[in-house]
Amino acid sequence: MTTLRARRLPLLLLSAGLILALAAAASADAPDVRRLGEPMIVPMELGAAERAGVLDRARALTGALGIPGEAAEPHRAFEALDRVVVDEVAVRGGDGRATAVIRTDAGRGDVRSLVRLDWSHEADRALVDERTVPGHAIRFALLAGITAPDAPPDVAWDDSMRAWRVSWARSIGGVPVAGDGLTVWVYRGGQLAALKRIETPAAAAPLVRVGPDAALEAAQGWAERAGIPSQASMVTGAPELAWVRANDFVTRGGADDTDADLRLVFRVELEIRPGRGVLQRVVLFVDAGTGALVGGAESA
Amino acid sequence: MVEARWWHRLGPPLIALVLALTVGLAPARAAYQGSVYSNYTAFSVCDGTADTISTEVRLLARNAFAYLGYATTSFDKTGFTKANVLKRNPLDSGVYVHSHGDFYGSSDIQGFRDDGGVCTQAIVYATEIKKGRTAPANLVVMSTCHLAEASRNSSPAMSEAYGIERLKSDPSGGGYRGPEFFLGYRGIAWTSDQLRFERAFWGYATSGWNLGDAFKLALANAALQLGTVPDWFGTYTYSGRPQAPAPCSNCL
Repeated sequence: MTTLRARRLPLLLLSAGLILALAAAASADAPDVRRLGEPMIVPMELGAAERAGVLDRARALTGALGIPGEAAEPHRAFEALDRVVVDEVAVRGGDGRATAVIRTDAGRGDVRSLVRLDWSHEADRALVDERTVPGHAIRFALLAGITAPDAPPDVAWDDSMRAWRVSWARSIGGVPVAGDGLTVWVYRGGQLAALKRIETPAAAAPLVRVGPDAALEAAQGWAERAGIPSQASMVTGAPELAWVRANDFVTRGGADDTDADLRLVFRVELEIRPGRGVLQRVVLFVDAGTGALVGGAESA
Repeated sequence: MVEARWWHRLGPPLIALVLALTVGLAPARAAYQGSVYSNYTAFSVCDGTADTISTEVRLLARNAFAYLGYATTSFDKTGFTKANVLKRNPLDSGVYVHSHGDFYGSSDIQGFRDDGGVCTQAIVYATEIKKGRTAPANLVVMSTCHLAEASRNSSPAMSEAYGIERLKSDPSGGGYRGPEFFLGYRGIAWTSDQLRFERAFWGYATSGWNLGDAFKLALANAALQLGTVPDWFGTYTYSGRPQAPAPCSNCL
């Protein structure tokens, strides 16, 4: 004699099968969800004292720059791509809306960026122009505790920020630093839109340097090893000295991150045509001291 | 022992059917299709480098699209073909492309390369995209060179092909353009800069900031080393979540 449970078993199995079959059919069309891989940003613990310090720094900045609202929500993170630890604070007005976001270097306490989010139509009044905007930028930088370089800045209208962009590229010993420097965005109405300052620590310059010819040779060697026929690659321009962060462009299995410190390199630019008609630009970094390839980048 | 009535036996299968239909129909209810394409082959096999950026940016975009509510599928290698892009195009509410982008052919039409697993990669032209669309897209990201630039002739720019005019609303919500946002790059974009900018942009876009704020914060925070210039069009205050487009006579 079969029990009721035994008699129900086929029905239960049928039910389970139905669920599995339909769920499997559904999952074939279901959205992808990324499995956790290498994180590019790693949240870090912020102790009570550090938290208070971060908020105090933010309050000092908002006070100096006249940004309304209260600094809140401090958090710390390790930016793995650039190997830097940053603190970030949102500043919120009484209605809860963010008026600014401030990022500081966790180690040094310096401002890395400050973005105002409390835009008003006053910002669109054409009160400053290309000629007068550097003065506003220098003043905002000073209020944020940053002394702008003496050199004349580059000034351009930045439509993406709806503001003038005033920037001072950084150089060390007369050699430009890729990506580093001070940029201040100022609205047409003369208000601060945003500010960004990146000053990556630099390694010592090599005492003895290889020549540009050695850099060219290293670049051509790379193209050969990459399997690019010589007729499909062309060096454009002369190798130029620059301070860059080395990266894993020429290393297999890397994670797209950079070294923490700047290195003096020769930048060699190439145009390559790996596929029929496809033009791609590649820049290679050749260590100015050793002549070794230490990174690079490619265009999209 | 009491024999169970026949309809009692129907209980488990019926429950199972209801459960299965609920699970099975969930993606169908998410009616807004998102397509994420990344050209792996161009940046690794074809130029001999050990590129991981094309995979990283694809995964970042795929996760963000899924977070925002698009029924998202991502493609690379043989899945990222011109035929597949054009087949999915009419139903795409969200689109992400990481590839080579440029003005192509004697007519200087904006386009991007497919992958296909080969180095002789077909071009998907803005004109072909536009031809297949009947409604504006919500969120379009062209992680390529040049495709945030204006058209050089009467053919549409890539944003316009997707029904997103090259206009910006203001940060207070004025000049609202509808639920639409286009992100692209002007001039030459370098993949290492794109990775940094997009990581920052998606980070903010998926943590409570509208897309205009996310753009600003990413531009001020990403350490771009090679002069890559991102730009955007559409509605500053848009969240990026898919929704029916606002009527727009000039959109397509």
